[in-house]
Amino acid sequence: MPIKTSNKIFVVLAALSWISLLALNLYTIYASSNNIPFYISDPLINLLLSLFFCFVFLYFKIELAKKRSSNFIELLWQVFIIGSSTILVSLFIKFFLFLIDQSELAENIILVNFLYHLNIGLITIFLGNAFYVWKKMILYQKSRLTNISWYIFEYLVYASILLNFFYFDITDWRFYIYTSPLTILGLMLSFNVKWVAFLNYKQKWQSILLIVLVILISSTFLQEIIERHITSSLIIDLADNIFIIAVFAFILLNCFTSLLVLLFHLPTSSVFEQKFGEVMIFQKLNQSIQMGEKEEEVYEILIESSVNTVMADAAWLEIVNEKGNFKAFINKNINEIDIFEIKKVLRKNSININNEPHYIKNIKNYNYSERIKDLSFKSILIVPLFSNDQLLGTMVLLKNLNDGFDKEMVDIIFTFVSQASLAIKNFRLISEAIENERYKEELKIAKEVQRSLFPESLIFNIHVEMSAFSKAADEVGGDYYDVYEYSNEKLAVVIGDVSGNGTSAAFNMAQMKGVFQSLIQLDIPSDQFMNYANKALSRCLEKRSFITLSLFLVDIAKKTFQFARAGHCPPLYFNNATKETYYLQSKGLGLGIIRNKDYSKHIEKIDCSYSSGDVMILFTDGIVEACNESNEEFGFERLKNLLFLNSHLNTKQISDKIVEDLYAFTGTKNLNDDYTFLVIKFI
Amino acid sequence: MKLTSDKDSNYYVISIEGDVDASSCIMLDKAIAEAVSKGENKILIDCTHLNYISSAGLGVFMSYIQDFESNNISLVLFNLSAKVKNVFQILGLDELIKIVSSKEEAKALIG
Repeated sequence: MPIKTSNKIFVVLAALSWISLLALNLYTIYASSNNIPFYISDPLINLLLSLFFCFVFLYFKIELAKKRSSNFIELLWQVFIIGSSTILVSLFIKFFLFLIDQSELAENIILVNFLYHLNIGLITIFLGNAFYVWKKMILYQKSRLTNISWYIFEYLVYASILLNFFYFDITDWRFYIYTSPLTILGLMLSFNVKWVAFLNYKQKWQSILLIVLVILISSTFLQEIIERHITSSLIIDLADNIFIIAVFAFILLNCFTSLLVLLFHLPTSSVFEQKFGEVMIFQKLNQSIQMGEKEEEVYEILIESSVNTVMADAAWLEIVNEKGNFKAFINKNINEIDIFEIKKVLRKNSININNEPHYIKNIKNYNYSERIKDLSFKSILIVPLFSNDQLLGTMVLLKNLNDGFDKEMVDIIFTFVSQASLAIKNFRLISEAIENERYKEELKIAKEVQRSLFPESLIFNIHVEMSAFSKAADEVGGDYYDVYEYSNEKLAVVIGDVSGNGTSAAFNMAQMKGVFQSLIQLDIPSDQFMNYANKALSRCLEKRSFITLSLFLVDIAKKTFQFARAGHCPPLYFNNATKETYYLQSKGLGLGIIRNKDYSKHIEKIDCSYSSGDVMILFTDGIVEACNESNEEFGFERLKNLLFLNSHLNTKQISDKIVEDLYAFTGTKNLNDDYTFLVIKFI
Repeated sequence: MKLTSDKDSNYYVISIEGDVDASSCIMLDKAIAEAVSKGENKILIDCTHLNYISSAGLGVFMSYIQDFESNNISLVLFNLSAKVKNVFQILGLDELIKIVSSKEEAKALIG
């Protein structure tokens, strides 16, 4: 701790120099009265005195630099406490001198000089402390110029200590020219009283009191110095010391300017405090936004601050939600019944409180005001809260005075309201964003769940090669495909499409999966499967929903397949033997379209045989209905040609080719419907 | 999508213009429900300008089939484009809903 150590050193050094000065002093007197030759006294005394001044001042310089600069009352208190304790000791000395006034002791030059020497110490401590306290005050919110002026001044003050070594006649006019820079700078600096503006009303009165007391203390010290100067014969006379007089003058000058400025500021301090309060309220409103507190707290801060700032007698605040419905209500010093009556009067005078701001100087002059004649309210300020033309609510302030709101008050309320509106809007946007994030999260889960509904892997069968592609337009979709392997020789493939898309389709798709997985176990013909499926789905699909489905039962041993098509897009078939590509036509109604009648006459099963190299594409309508920019559909023909040209490829390659052509055709990867297809190749 | 409803002697004609998709099918449903609530029992749907119908749109027609049958209300779609007609055919709705090529044919069909 270098600062602390150096500070202690200054105390020790100051004490040492003071004691040696005292000793030298007394010895000089003793020597002169006893005619002992002693020559070195004068320069040595001056040196020790100068050192003492320096050490005391340096101690306070370091000590006060450690203090926080903004607590002015505490600083002034410090001046007062040190001042009053030093002056008390000084007065006690004076009292002692008074007691011995008539005695022989009063004539004892050694005693008088010893007591005066105590006074020198006391005065130096008082001055050192006061000097550096004023430094703090003067340099509060300093400009560069003030800073520089202060340091020049401080060095000049220290330099004036050197004047101890010379004799000056203070009645000589030249003396004033030499000391004029010190005077001018001191005067200039004494007008830096910015700190006064930061005191509140009470603190200003405290400051005035403390400064008056400091002036009293200083004057008492000065009076003592002058009195001693006249009455006593002294070795060291502070009255001749430029340094001490300059510091005294500087402190008194500052006391007087501060006192004047304080007195001038007193009447305006309430305004300053009010403005300061407003700033604090803004800060509070802003903080409540940033601190992530609740929207409700903004209401409280708004109404509380408004009522306090304009000194309203009562107020209420109505808040509505995004849909314009009631959300919150806060009332202050007024009950709901009275509010209801006031609103009725306003309504009858066709004043809409949710429309625009209104200022009513005296409601008692309005029509129908006899309803509220028992209420003491007169002036009413109505301010709606808006954010981007959206009404958030309305605040109403009431005063018992006629025309109780002046322009400044109205302005400040407007600013409060707009600030609060912003805060409320922010809270709502944040909660909306959180809500959206939550929905997104839910949809992600739904997507995961749906993904798990598709078969994990397509059957690996050396006789049948299969590839699948499925992509939903939204997070979840209504397309469905599945496979079921009875044995190495027999398998079932299904593709389906639920009407509509998005979440509702996804739910129905899940039901379809259940229906398929249960019915397929029965190992029944495909038309009968559809019949059962229709029955099952009729019970669980909502009125306007239906499902289209194609089911293929493949018999690898016999090289045949049986299929039924319930309203689904007809499968595309490539016949390797004839090199023909065609759609497999059949009669079949979608599932869930007729629910209470016999579905069986609307479905048929088709039996086919296949040969090696035949390719089949099962797809949903999203593929053929995919549109390009000019609203042209991908269509059945394009798909047919695609297969015809690529039938020699393996299923994965064909699948990739379809996806590639499809995206190239639409020119975008944004789907407007779910895309699903299966490519099956018989080996 | 745009819908216009007209009264042609004792036929109630709803003309569809544009696309019937998941969002606009609600309007179509409303228009048909309105006709039913007015007590109309000969409803013709003019599909001359019907460009596209999604599965949700088909769902609207589908939902009325059994109601109309039991309440003796006739519904006929006329003048469908080949593309739109194909959509009805794939789903098998052409077996349940009367689809003809012109308004005159539609009138003649239900008398």
